[in-house]
Amino acid sequence: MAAIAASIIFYIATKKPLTGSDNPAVLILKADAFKNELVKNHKQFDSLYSNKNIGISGSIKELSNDHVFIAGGDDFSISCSFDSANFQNVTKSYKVGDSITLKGIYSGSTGFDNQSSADELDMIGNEKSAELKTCGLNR
Amino acid sequence: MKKIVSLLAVLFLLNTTWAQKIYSSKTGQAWFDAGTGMEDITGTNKSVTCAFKPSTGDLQFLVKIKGFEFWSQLLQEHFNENYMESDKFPNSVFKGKVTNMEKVNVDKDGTYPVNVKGILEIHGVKKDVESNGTMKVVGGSISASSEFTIVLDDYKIAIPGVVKDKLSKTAKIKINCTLSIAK
Repeated sequence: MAAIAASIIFYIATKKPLTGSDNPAVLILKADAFKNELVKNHKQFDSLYSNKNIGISGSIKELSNDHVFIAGGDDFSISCSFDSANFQNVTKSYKVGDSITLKGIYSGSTGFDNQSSADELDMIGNEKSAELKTCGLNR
Repeated sequence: MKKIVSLLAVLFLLNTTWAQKIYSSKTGQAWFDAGTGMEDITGTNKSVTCAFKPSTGDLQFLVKIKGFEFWSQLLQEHFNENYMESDKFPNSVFKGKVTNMEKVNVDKDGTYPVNVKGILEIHGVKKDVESNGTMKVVGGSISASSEFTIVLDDYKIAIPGVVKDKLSKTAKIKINCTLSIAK
Protein backbone atom coordinates (compact mmCIF):
# COMPACT_ATOMS: atom_id res chain seq x y z
CA MET A 1 0.00 0.00 0.00
CA ALA A 2 2.83 2.38 0.93
CA ALA A 3 4.55 1.51 -2.36
CA ILE A 4 1.42 2.38 -4.36
CA ALA A 5 1.03 5.69 -2.52
CA ALA A 6 4.72 6.47 -3.07
CA SER A 7 4.37 5.66 -6.78
CA ILE A 8 1.36 7.98 -7.12
CA ILE A 9 3.17 10.79 -5.30
CA PHE A 10 6.27 10.24 -7.45
CA TYR A 11 4.12 10.28 -10.62
CA ILE A 12 2.38 13.53 -9.66
CA ALA A 13 5.60 15.22 -8.54
CA THR A 14 7.55 14.34 -11.67
CA LYS A 15 4.79 14.59 -14.30
CA LYS A 16 5.97 16.80 -17.16
CA PRO A 17 3.92 19.89 -18.03
CA LEU A 18 1.61 19.93 -21.03
CA THR A 19 3.46 20.98 -24.17
CA GLY A 20 1.94 22.41 -27.31
CA SER A 21 4.12 20.36 -29.63
CA ASP A 22 3.22 16.92 -28.20
CA ASN A 23 -0.51 17.30 -27.63
CA PRO A 24 -3.59 17.95 -29.77
CA ALA A 25 -4.99 21.49 -29.88
CA VAL A 26 -8.33 21.99 -28.11
CA LEU A 27 -9.22 24.87 -30.44
CA ILE A 28 -7.93 26.02 -33.83
CA LEU A 29 -8.48 29.60 -34.99
CA LYS A 30 -7.39 31.77 -37.87
CA ALA A 31 -5.19 34.67 -36.72
CA ASP A 32 -7.81 37.34 -37.51
CA ALA A 33 -10.57 35.37 -35.78
CA PHE A 34 -8.26 34.99 -32.78
CA LYS A 35 -7.79 38.77 -32.68
CA ASN A 36 -11.56 39.28 -32.91
CA GLU A 37 -12.10 36.99 -29.94
CA LEU A 38 -9.57 38.98 -27.90
CA VAL A 39 -11.07 42.32 -28.94
CA LYS A 40 -14.53 41.04 -28.00
CA ASN A 41 -13.53 39.92 -24.51
CA HIS A 42 -9.88 39.15 -23.89
CA LYS A 43 -10.39 38.48 -20.18
CA GLN A 44 -12.96 35.79 -20.91
CA PHE A 45 -10.78 34.24 -23.63
CA ASP A 46 -7.74 34.30 -21.35
CA SER A 47 -9.60 32.67 -18.49
CA LEU A 48 -11.02 29.96 -20.78
CA TYR A 49 -7.87 29.11 -22.70
CA SER A 50 -4.84 30.10 -20.58
CA ASN A 51 -2.50 27.13 -20.23
CA LYS A 52 -4.53 25.25 -22.88
CA ASN A 53 -3.14 24.04 -26.16
CA ILE A 54 -4.55 26.13 -28.99
CA GLY A 55 -3.86 26.12 -32.71
CA ILE A 56 -3.47 29.26 -34.83
CA SER A 57 -3.31 29.49 -38.59
CA GLY A 58 -2.04 32.51 -40.48
CA SER A 59 0.82 33.97 -42.40
CA ILE A 60 4.37 34.05 -41.01
CA LYS A 61 5.47 37.60 -40.21
CA GLU A 62 8.87 36.80 -38.75
CA LEU A 63 11.08 33.82 -37.93
CA SER A 64 13.72 34.58 -35.31
CA ASN A 65 15.38 33.36 -32.16
CA ASP A 66 13.29 30.14 -31.79
CA HIS A 67 10.09 32.14 -32.35
CA VAL A 68 7.54 32.25 -35.14
CA PHE A 69 5.45 35.43 -35.33
CA ILE A 70 2.11 35.11 -37.09
CA ALA A 71 0.57 38.26 -38.53
CA GLY A 72 -2.93 39.12 -37.39
CA GLY A 73 -3.46 42.53 -38.95
CA ASP A 74 -1.57 45.83 -38.74
CA ASP A 75 -1.33 46.06 -34.98
CA PHE A 76 -1.52 42.44 -33.82
CA SER A 77 0.88 39.53 -33.89
CA ILE A 78 1.01 36.12 -32.28
CA SER A 79 4.32 34.99 -30.85
CA CYS A 80 5.02 31.24 -30.67
CA SER A 81 8.14 30.07 -28.85
CA PHE A 82 9.69 26.73 -29.78
CA ASP A 83 12.44 24.51 -28.51
CA SER A 84 15.40 24.55 -30.90
CA ALA A 85 14.62 21.17 -32.55
CA ASN A 86 11.01 22.07 -33.30
CA PHE A 87 12.03 25.51 -34.54
CA GLN A 88 14.47 23.91 -36.99
CA ASN A 89 11.62 21.79 -38.36
CA VAL A 90 9.72 25.00 -39.08
CA THR A 91 12.62 26.84 -40.72
CA LYS A 92 13.35 23.80 -42.94
CA SER A 93 9.92 23.99 -44.55
CA TYR A 94 8.63 27.54 -44.08
CA LYS A 95 9.68 31.10 -44.80
CA VAL A 96 8.27 34.56 -44.04
CA GLY A 97 4.95 35.06 -45.84
CA ASP A 98 4.03 31.35 -45.92
CA SER A 99 0.77 30.14 -44.42
CA ILE A 100 1.21 27.95 -41.37
CA THR A 101 -0.83 26.32 -38.61
CA LEU A 102 0.87 26.12 -35.24
CA LYS A 103 -0.23 24.94 -31.83
CA GLY A 104 1.07 25.95 -28.44
CA ILE A 105 0.18 26.57 -24.82
CA TYR A 106 -1.57 29.92 -24.58
CA SER A 107 0.13 32.30 -22.09
CA GLY A 108 -2.11 35.33 -22.57
CA SER A 109 -2.54 38.55 -24.48
CA THR A 110 -1.20 42.11 -24.20
CA GLY A 111 -2.56 45.47 -25.33
CA PHE A 112 -6.28 44.69 -25.26
CA ASP A 113 -6.94 46.37 -21.93
CA ASN A 114 -7.21 50.13 -22.45
CA GLN A 115 -7.30 50.91 -18.75
CA SER A 116 -4.29 48.93 -17.63
CA SER A 117 -1.03 50.85 -17.56
CA ALA A 118 1.02 47.95 -16.24
CA ASP A 119 -0.19 45.88 -19.17
CA GLU A 120 1.71 47.94 -21.69
CA LEU A 121 5.19 49.24 -22.22
CA ASP A 122 4.71 52.87 -23.20
CA MET A 123 7.86 52.88 -25.33
CA ILE A 124 6.41 50.21 -27.60
CA GLY A 125 2.92 51.67 -27.67
CA ASN A 126 -0.38 49.95 -27.76
CA GLU A 127 0.70 47.02 -29.89
CA LYS A 128 -1.54 44.03 -29.42
CA SER A 129 -0.02 40.60 -29.06
CA ALA A 130 -0.67 37.09 -27.84
CA GLU A 131 1.79 34.44 -26.78
CA LEU A 132 1.97 30.67 -27.16
CA LYS A 133 4.77 28.56 -25.65
CA THR A 134 6.26 25.09 -26.30
CA CYS A 135 4.89 25.34 -29.83
CA GLY A 136 4.90 22.80 -32.62
CA LEU A 137 3.54 22.44 -36.12
CA ASN A 138 -0.09 21.37 -36.30
CA ARG A 139 0.13 18.66 -38.96
CA MET B 1 18.61 81.20 -47.63
CA LYS B 2 16.61 78.28 -49.03
CA LYS B 3 19.67 76.03 -48.64
CA ILE B 4 20.09 77.02 -44.98
CA VAL B 5 16.42 76.32 -44.27
CA SER B 6 16.68 72.93 -46.04
CA LEU B 7 19.83 72.07 -44.12
CA LEU B 8 18.20 73.02 -40.83
CA ALA B 9 15.14 70.92 -41.73
CA VAL B 10 17.35 67.90 -42.51
CA LEU B 11 19.30 68.36 -39.27
CA PHE B 12 16.03 68.64 -37.33
CA LEU B 13 14.69 65.46 -38.92
CA LEU B 14 17.93 63.57 -38.25
CA ASN B 15 17.92 64.71 -34.64
CA THR B 16 14.25 63.74 -34.23
CA THR B 17 14.91 60.31 -35.75
CA TRP B 18 17.88 59.74 -33.43
CA ALA B 19 15.93 60.92 -30.40
CA GLN B 20 13.12 58.51 -31.18
CA LYS B 21 15.34 55.51 -31.90
CA ILE B 22 14.00 52.65 -29.84
CA TYR B 23 15.56 49.21 -29.61
CA SER B 24 13.17 46.38 -28.82
CA SER B 25 12.74 42.62 -28.68
CA LYS B 26 9.94 40.17 -28.05
CA THR B 27 12.20 37.18 -27.64
CA GLY B 28 14.06 38.11 -24.48
CA GLN B 29 14.64 35.52 -21.78
CA ALA B 30 13.88 35.60 -18.07
CA TRP B 31 15.06 32.88 -15.71
CA PHE B 32 14.59 32.50 -12.00
CA ASP B 33 15.79 30.17 -9.28
CA ALA B 34 13.90 30.10 -5.99
CA GLY B 35 15.13 26.74 -4.74
CA THR B 36 17.09 25.97 -1.58
CA GLY B 37 18.97 23.08 -3.18
CA MET B 38 16.48 20.41 -2.05
CA GLU B 39 14.47 20.64 -5.29
CA ASP B 40 14.85 22.27 -8.69
CA ILE B 41 12.62 25.36 -8.48
CA THR B 42 13.61 27.14 -11.66
CA GLY B 43 11.57 28.53 -14.53
CA THR B 44 12.38 30.04 -17.91
CA ASN B 45 10.40 32.47 -20.03
CA LYS B 46 11.55 32.85 -23.64
CA SER B 47 9.14 35.60 -24.76
CA VAL B 48 10.07 38.65 -22.72
CA THR B 49 9.23 41.99 -24.36
CA CYS B 50 12.03 44.53 -23.88
CA ALA B 51 12.49 48.12 -25.02
CA PHE B 52 15.39 50.54 -24.71
CA LYS B 53 15.70 54.19 -25.76
CA PRO B 54 19.36 55.25 -25.83
CA SER B 55 18.62 58.98 -26.04
CA THR B 56 16.97 58.93 -22.59
CA GLY B 57 18.30 55.67 -21.13
CA ASP B 58 14.74 54.41 -20.66
CA LEU B 59 14.60 50.64 -20.26
CA GLN B 60 11.45 48.55 -19.92
CA PHE B 61 10.52 44.92 -19.96
CA LEU B 62 7.35 42.89 -19.62
CA VAL B 63 7.20 39.23 -18.62
CA LYS B 64 4.04 37.14 -18.91
CA ILE B 65 3.88 35.01 -15.77
CA LYS B 66 2.08 32.17 -17.55
CA GLY B 67 4.86 32.13 -20.13
CA PHE B 68 7.30 30.51 -17.69
CA GLU B 69 8.25 26.93 -18.50
CA PHE B 70 9.03 24.37 -15.79
CA TRP B 71 10.31 20.81 -15.62
CA SER B 72 7.27 19.66 -13.63
CA GLN B 73 3.55 20.21 -14.10
CA LEU B 74 2.99 20.33 -10.35
CA LEU B 75 5.60 23.06 -9.95
CA GLN B 76 4.03 25.02 -12.83
CA GLU B 77 0.59 24.77 -11.21
CA HIS B 78 1.85 25.83 -7.79
CA PHE B 79 3.82 28.72 -9.32
CA ASN B 80 0.81 30.08 -11.23
CA GLU B 81 -1.99 29.33 -8.78
CA ASN B 82 -0.47 29.56 -5.31
CA TYR B 83 2.58 31.80 -5.46
CA MET B 84 2.17 34.23 -8.38
CA GLU B 85 -1.65 34.15 -8.76
CA SER B 86 -1.14 34.64 -12.47
CA ASP B 87 -4.86 34.96 -13.28
CA LYS B 88 -4.97 38.04 -11.04
CA PHE B 89 -1.48 39.36 -11.84
CA PRO B 90 -0.69 38.17 -15.38
CA ASN B 91 2.40 40.33 -16.01
CA SER B 92 5.55 41.45 -14.34
CA VAL B 93 6.79 44.82 -15.57
CA PHE B 94 10.00 46.78 -15.12
CA LYS B 95 10.17 50.48 -16.04
CA GLY B 96 13.39 52.30 -15.37
CA LYS B 97 16.51 53.94 -16.71
CA VAL B 98 20.15 53.20 -17.38
CA THR B 99 21.71 55.76 -15.09
CA ASN B 100 25.19 55.82 -16.64
CA MET B 101 24.27 56.35 -20.30
CA GLU B 102 27.27 58.63 -20.71
CA LYS B 103 29.39 55.46 -20.64
CA VAL B 104 27.36 53.61 -23.29
CA ASN B 105 27.83 54.15 -27.02
CA VAL B 106 25.22 52.18 -28.94
CA ASP B 107 26.87 53.16 -32.22
CA LYS B 108 30.17 51.51 -31.31
CA ASP B 109 30.65 47.77 -30.81
CA GLY B 110 31.74 46.92 -27.30
CA THR B 111 30.67 45.69 -23.89
CA TYR B 112 29.44 48.38 -21.54
CA PRO B 113 28.73 47.89 -17.81
CA VAL B 114 25.45 49.60 -16.93
CA ASN B 115 23.63 50.64 -13.80
CA VAL B 116 19.87 50.34 -13.94
CA LYS B 117 17.34 51.91 -11.61
CA GLY B 118 13.57 51.73 -11.74
CA ILE B 119 10.36 50.17 -10.54
CA LEU B 120 9.78 46.45 -10.72
CA GLU B 121 6.21 45.19 -10.47
CA ILE B 122 5.71 41.57 -9.50
CA HIS B 123 2.54 40.01 -8.10
CA GLY B 124 0.85 43.44 -8.21
CA VAL B 125 3.48 45.01 -5.92
CA LYS B 126 5.73 47.81 -7.18
CA LYS B 127 9.18 48.20 -5.62
CA ASP B 128 12.16 50.42 -6.38
CA VAL B 129 15.06 48.32 -7.60
CA GLU B 130 18.61 48.99 -8.62
CA SER B 131 20.91 46.58 -10.39
CA ASN B 132 24.05 46.26 -12.48
CA GLY B 133 24.17 44.67 -15.88
CA THR B 134 25.93 44.76 -19.21
CA MET B 135 25.05 45.97 -22.68
CA LYS B 136 26.98 44.33 -25.48
CA VAL B 137 26.73 46.20 -28.76
CA VAL B 138 27.44 44.12 -31.86
CA GLY B 139 26.67 45.29 -35.38
CA GLY B 140 23.76 47.51 -34.39
CA SER B 141 22.07 45.13 -31.97
CA ILE B 142 22.34 45.30 -28.20
CA SER B 143 22.48 42.29 -25.92
CA ALA B 144 21.36 43.54 -22.52
CA SER B 145 21.63 41.32 -19.46
CA SER B 146 21.24 41.67 -15.74
CA GLU B 147 21.13 39.40 -12.72
CA PHE B 148 19.59 40.37 -9.42
CA THR B 149 17.90 38.92 -6.35
CA ILE B 150 14.49 39.76 -4.95
CA VAL B 151 12.98 38.98 -1.56
CA LEU B 152 9.70 37.12 -2.14
CA ASP B 153 8.08 38.67 0.93
CA ASP B 154 8.69 42.17 -0.52
CA TYR B 155 6.30 41.24 -3.32
CA LYS B 156 3.79 39.56 -1.01
CA ILE B 157 4.56 36.12 -2.41
CA ALA B 158 3.60 33.77 0.39
CA ILE B 159 5.52 30.57 1.06
CA PRO B 160 3.28 27.81 2.43
CA GLY B 161 4.67 26.03 5.47
CA VAL B 162 4.82 22.61 3.75
CA VAL B 163 7.33 23.83 1.18
CA LYS B 164 9.31 26.28 3.31
CA ASP B 165 12.36 24.00 3.30
CA LYS B 166 12.32 23.68 -0.48
CA LEU B 167 11.46 27.24 -1.44
CA SER B 168 13.96 29.99 -0.76
CA LYS B 169 12.91 33.31 0.74
CA THR B 170 14.64 34.98 -2.20
CA ALA B 171 14.67 34.40 -5.94
CA LYS B 172 17.63 34.92 -8.21
CA ILE B 173 16.50 36.43 -11.52
CA LYS B 174 18.34 36.75 -14.83
CA ILE B 175 17.11 38.81 -17.75
CA ASN B 176 18.66 38.71 -21.19
CA CYS B 177 17.37 40.58 -24.25
CA THR B 178 18.91 40.99 -27.66
CA LEU B 179 17.46 44.26 -28.89
CA SER B 180 17.47 45.76 -32.35
CA ILE B 181 15.98 48.95 -33.73
CA ALA B 182 12.22 48.63 -33.83
CA LYS B 183 10.89 48.25 -37.38
